[in-house]
Amino acid sequence: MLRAKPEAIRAPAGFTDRVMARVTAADPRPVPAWLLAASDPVAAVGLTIALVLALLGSWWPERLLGGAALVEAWLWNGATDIARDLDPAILLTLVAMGGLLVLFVAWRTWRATERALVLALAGRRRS
Amino acid sequence: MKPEPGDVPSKARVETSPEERDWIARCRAGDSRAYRALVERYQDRAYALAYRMVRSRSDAEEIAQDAFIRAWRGMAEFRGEASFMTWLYRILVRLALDRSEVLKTRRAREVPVDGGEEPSTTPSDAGLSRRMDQLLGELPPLQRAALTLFYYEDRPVAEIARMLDLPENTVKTHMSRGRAALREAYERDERVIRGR
Repeated sequence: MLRAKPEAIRAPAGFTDRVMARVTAADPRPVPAWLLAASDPVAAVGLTIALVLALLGSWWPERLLGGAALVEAWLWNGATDIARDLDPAILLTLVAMGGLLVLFVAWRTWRATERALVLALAGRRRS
Repeated sequence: MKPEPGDVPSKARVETSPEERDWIARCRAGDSRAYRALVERYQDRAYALAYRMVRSRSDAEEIAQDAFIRAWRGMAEFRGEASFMTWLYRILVRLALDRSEVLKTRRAREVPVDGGEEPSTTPSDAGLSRRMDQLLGELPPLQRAALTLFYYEDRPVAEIARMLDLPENTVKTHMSRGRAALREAYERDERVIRGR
């Protein structure tokens, strides 16, 4: 019964053109990695810091190290001054929160950069 | 290159041709012209399968288009373990099954309009085939999918099972129940016709 010759059903005219129009529209354009990473504000802060440190480190290493030592000393002195007057529990909480913030910024920066690189590579592959 | 519209593939002919392998490799490298060749080769089969599953011209085109778009987007993950056609059918059948549920609800609320939903057919297509199509359209989606793939698309049971994500025995059960329901509906129609 079902072995009767089936009706020949054709795709409507222009079907391929319509599919290809959508394929072209779906094709991701290459996007600069820095632009994508910068679209995430937290990642943008992280990237800016990383970029400034990288530039200083490559062009002006002794100043960077000197500057880092100054900042470290300033932070350390300031921190020890503050720490002296602070309740240890509050100090510990502040240190923990600071650590978490640094980790959060680093994680978001990493995620955004990774995503941007993947998209940029996919765009280059298809272009 | 392009198959005849009524050409039903044989179960034995599932090998991918060297030409198609080349198109697929180029598609994976992002060549949309190669993909155009694949779309041209499979557009009639994909559209016919979608139409038989949902029995609506506009929905069939949308489903077939969506299947081709998804296949293009997923081309990087296509490892060529199955043929492109099997992979495309798998995507299409799932889309059609999802759409069938929506259409079932929609049709329950609609008043049927004659003449608006018939696809273009060859002049030799006649009553029995059309009647079988109609009866097939009344079956539950999984039974319809299994029977359409087996009889119209000539796919083996193992491949249908992979497309539907079901064990082979479950596919056989759906086919058996579908056949029984078709036979019953056909005999009921015959009795009505003879009774006139």
